[in-house]
Amino acid sequence: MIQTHHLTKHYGDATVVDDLSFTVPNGSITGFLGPNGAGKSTTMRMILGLDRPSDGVALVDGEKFPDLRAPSRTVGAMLESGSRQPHLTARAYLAWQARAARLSKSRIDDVLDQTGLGEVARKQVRDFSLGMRQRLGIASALLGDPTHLILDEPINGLDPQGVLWARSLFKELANEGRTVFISSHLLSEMETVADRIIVIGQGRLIVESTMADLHQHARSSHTVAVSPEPDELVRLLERSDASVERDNTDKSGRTLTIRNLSAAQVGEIVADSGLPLHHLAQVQTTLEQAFMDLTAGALEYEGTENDPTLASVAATARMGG
Amino acid sequence: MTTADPIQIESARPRLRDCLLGEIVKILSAKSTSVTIALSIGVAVFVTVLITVFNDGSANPLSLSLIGPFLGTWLLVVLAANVVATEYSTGMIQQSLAVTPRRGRLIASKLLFVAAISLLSGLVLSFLCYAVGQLILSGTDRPSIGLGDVSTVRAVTVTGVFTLIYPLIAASLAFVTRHATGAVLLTLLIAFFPMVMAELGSSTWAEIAVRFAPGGPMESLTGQAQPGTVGYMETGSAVGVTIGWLSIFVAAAFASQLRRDE
Repeated sequence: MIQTHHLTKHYGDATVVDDLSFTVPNGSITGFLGPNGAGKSTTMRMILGLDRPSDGVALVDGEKFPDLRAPSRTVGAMLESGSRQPHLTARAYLAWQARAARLSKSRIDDVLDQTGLGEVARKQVRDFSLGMRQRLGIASALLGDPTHLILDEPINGLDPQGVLWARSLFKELANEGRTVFISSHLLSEMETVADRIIVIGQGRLIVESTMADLHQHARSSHTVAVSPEPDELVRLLERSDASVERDNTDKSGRTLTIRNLSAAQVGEIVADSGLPLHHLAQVQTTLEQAFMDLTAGALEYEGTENDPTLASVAATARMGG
Repeated sequence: MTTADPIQIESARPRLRDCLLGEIVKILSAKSTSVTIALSIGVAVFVTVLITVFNDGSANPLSLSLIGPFLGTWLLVVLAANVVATEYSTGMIQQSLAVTPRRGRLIASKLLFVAAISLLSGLVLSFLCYAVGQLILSGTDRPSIGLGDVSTVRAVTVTGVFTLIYPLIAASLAFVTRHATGAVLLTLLIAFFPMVMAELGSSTWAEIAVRFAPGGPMESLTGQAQPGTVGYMETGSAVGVTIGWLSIFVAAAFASQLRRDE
């Protein structure tokens, strides 16, 4: 199990990770999501002891990573694809790690075969494509046959076959009871592979949930209404306690988004008033839209644990119309 | 599999020796390592041949053979700085620390490797240059010195041993600067500062700089500085000053990593 407790990191005046607490349980694949610059890599680096937290602590099975008795047998890490010496061959790159971690030499061939790099083992890393470097990074993470895997954007650069291979590998590892912690900025990819999801934005926790719960809460919707008298419509709806926003993409200002009333309810309110309405529709929120909404204004959100219901995601409302 | 067998983990717990062996595999796997060592030996021998061949017979035969190793050392300085700085320039330090998260162990391993390879190369340089130099001298009917003389053996051996000083300083500075060129330039400054001081400073400062600089004790330990001369130091003091300087730079290397992010 990987845990962070109030993990915080400041770089000068900037707070890159802010009071982050979450748990990555054994036997599951946890996707670690957030937009670029959200603090995902910094969080993973703090778990691995590469960056020192300004506050809080990150633990692996209850211990800090540097204090583990056999780090490589406990945690297999894959960091950014550029972090290896280009003049080493793939075999040499794995050989020094195996030696330093006191692992059997046979593990080198095992992981090279497992990642499909057996035939290019003697090729220098600088001659590898991005996809091959990613595979080498995964091979490196698997070298110690670890109980936990921390992988920073492992899918990047893999071809479609490679992506399928990686997905089935991660699932197999999780089924063996290992902890698999994967970061990505691609929700679509995490949707297909992760059991749980942790979303951060601007260094703060936004969501910690199972993927199933996130799907459930993303099946929500909002109402779009277009009226030639938008100001009147806004006043009318707000009298009914509606949460109304103007659509900034419509320069005429006639398009309104109503978050807590269904299309049917809006229709009934407007019908009673006699206000003209040119368009009224119930819009389904996709998981991706929910994710974009979650991370668009991260500072407005307070972190929650195991409760993905948040103000920014359209409230689950009865479907109207 | 949810947890590994504790007994298995304890028996497989990596030690400093394992980290050092890992570093040896890593560093020797790069072709540039063997090329640099070979160049170091090549440059030293080449310079020794040049100096000896074109010497008019006025120079001390032993001194002629000990200049080449000094120049060859500077290629080892470049190697030492790169052994450390390449970790940062390639980003591989992240993987190195993921495998060996105890930073002190990693630093110690790299410095031990630098010391060992420099010592070994230095002794090869020193004895090879001595052999080549004396062979040329004797072959051209000029005075030469044999290894039967204890002071000659001492001078050649100490020259070889002292080859590790500047590479170790460069490696330590590379941990501080995380930059190979910066570490090499600083090492050059440290090595040549006494010579500059000797020309520009007051006699007192010049004496202090020459005698107590990191490379200063070598002349006393090789026996080339005689009692009463500016560079002379008793053996015990010479060893103490050398160890003192190395301790300062190595401590700086360790201290620089204690609180820094990678």
